[in-house]
Amino acid sequence: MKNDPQANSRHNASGCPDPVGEEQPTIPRILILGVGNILLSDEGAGIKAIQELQRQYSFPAEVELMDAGTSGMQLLPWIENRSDLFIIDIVNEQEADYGEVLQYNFEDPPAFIRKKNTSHQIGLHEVLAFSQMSNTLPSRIVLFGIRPLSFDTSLDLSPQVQKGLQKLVRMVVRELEKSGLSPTKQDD
Amino acid sequence: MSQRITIDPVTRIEGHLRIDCEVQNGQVKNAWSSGQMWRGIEKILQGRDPRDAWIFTQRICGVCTTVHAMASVRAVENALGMEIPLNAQLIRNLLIAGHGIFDHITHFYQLSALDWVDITSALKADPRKASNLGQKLSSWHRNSYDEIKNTQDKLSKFVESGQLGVFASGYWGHPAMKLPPEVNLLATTHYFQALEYQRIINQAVAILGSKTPHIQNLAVGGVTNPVDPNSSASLNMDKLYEIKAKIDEVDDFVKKVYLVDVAAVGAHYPDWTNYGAGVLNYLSVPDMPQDTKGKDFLLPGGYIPNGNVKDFQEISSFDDKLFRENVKESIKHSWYDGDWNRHPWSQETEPNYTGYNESGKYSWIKSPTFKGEPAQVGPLANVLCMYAAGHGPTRKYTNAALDIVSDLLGSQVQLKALHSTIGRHAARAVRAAVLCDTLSESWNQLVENIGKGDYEIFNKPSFPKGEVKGFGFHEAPRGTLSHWIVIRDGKIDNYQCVVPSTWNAGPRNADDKLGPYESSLLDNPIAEPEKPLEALRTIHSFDPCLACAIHMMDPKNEEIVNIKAL
Repeated sequence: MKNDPQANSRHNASGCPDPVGEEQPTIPRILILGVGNILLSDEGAGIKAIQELQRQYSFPAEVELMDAGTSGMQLLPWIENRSDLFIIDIVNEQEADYGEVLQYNFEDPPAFIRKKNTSHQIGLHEVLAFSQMSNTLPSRIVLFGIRPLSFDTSLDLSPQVQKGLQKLVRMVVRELEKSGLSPTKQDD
Repeated sequence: MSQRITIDPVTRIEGHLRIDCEVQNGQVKNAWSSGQMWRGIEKILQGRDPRDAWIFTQRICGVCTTVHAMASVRAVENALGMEIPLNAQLIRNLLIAGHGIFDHITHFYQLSALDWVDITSALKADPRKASNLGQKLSSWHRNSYDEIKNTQDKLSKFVESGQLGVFASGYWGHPAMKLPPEVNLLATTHYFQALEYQRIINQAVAILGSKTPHIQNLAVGGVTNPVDPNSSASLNMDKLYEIKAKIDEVDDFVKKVYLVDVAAVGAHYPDWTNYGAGVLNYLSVPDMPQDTKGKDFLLPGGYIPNGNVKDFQEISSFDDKLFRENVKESIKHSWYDGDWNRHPWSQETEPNYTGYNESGKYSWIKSPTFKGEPAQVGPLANVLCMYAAGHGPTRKYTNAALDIVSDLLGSQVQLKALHSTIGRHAARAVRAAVLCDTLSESWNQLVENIGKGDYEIFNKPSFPKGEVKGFGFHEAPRGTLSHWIVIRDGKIDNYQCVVPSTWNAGPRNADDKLGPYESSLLDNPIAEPEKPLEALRTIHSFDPCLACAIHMMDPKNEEIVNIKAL
């Protein structure tokens, strides 16, 4: 692997969305955020999903994809001032099968934030809470979750999650289509 | 009567840490620190191209991405005996300083202020008095009545709506909260302002080509952002001036707000200069190289044994023998196969989880030592070492902070007050101010060097047959970070990271001496065992960051934080 598995996201000259800057172009209104750690097998499913989306599709200008890793407060400027935030992460959903994909629609993001608790205390929930305090919270949050099986030290996903990942990609695409922002399938 | 407190995980940290305290008569009598997550980056790196190591190491931690990337390229460059172009050093220095300032501001306001600042008390404050106090303490232009009144109104709205959000985890009304309402309100106002300045410093870093959260512009041998004052696709003068404007804004916030707030909070908690000292051996490394070889540094580093600043020993180059030969890690109390105490180059990483056993193995973290002794790392170690080395800006900002505290207290506070929980916060603010100076200086140097027509950014590495060893260190926001690499025939043979939180949060060592977290908790008061705010204060003062890796969404509202008082 020669290059960092980065989201090839659109960004302005500063490389960072700057909603207050005068000369900055408008930021894409939908942010698709993949979170996780690629060093710990299924923990990296969110990042792998972003890579897979980028490999298979090209996206309209209103949609931005980002590999957020496991960062915390640094995400704040990225999340702010979007209309929709899609989060791709593993979920602690005991009743689901390993590799099962679940979609949660939060039309009321503050309620989502109140259900705090990632094991990472300055995690996404907190960053969203800070965004809420600054009145910059996206009005809609969709969480695409997949139930992990393995947290082994490995760059590979478990077969179950690997399989679920393709379904997750299709669910994200379908959600974009519903918003009238269909991505274009790329030729292999 | 002895009582047991388990805090698992410690909240408002960026990782997963378990702390156990034995409390007797309202004081901590014994403590254990346990890292609850296994990290095996070494396993992933074996057999790979050393030029790619930094891409993986920056994934170890979501917060410390830049620092692991930096230590990694330095380790490989050290193994190859490389020089790197001056522009590359300076661009790296700008990234390092920017990242450090971001991290320190975030730590004080968003991650630990709520240990000291009572948000609910801020609602009772008279905003006029808070504004007057702010203007007395500092020339900051945003301590106006309007600004402070707005913050209070905003806060009332949060509380009325029941949406405390990030404030929900604070211990409001705890007997250990001592700030007057006006100080609480002033600090809360700055808490919100801090979010703006974090964003600004992040933007400055981003312009340098380091898109957050993962740095992209590094390479073994230099950096990859082209430098050309006349090209819009390169790091040109427009971009450099954009960076400078952002540096100046943040500089103002750090020196007129952050440094002053820490001193003001400290002055209201004078007893906290008596708690939390812990291990008094301080280790830090020099950083901000000024030359292509890494022999001349803007910020000094070294080792102070037993808290005695006069016994400071300098670490003076990227190839320093004192550092190279004196780092060891023990696994006597850690979940790895066997029991050894070894230099990083000759370690292996075989995990073997055997359950939590305080007299045996109880942590995933190894226990590092310097010259055979536990050592504390972090901004306090760094500031004390720089102070000992006679570094001008460090002395200036340290004395400025101590003067504010002394004025407010009405008695002179000495340097030794820094060996404490509150001292770690003060040192971090001092370091942030020093880094602001560093940022401006590095910017000037870069502009000057480019002005001379030097656009070099990269020297190509070449790998010899056979074995070479190297180490790369970096004075990261949380303290001394080092990566150790063994390369054989151009491939990684061994790789070990000795990270700041390993130094501080490590368990007992081979001689059963307590690690810095553990020993800093001893004798801390605990007013209410079911709300162990005091223990959290001390642990948070280190800016804990452990294994920093797991993100798991819990769509149901399950309480993961578990504080047990037995």
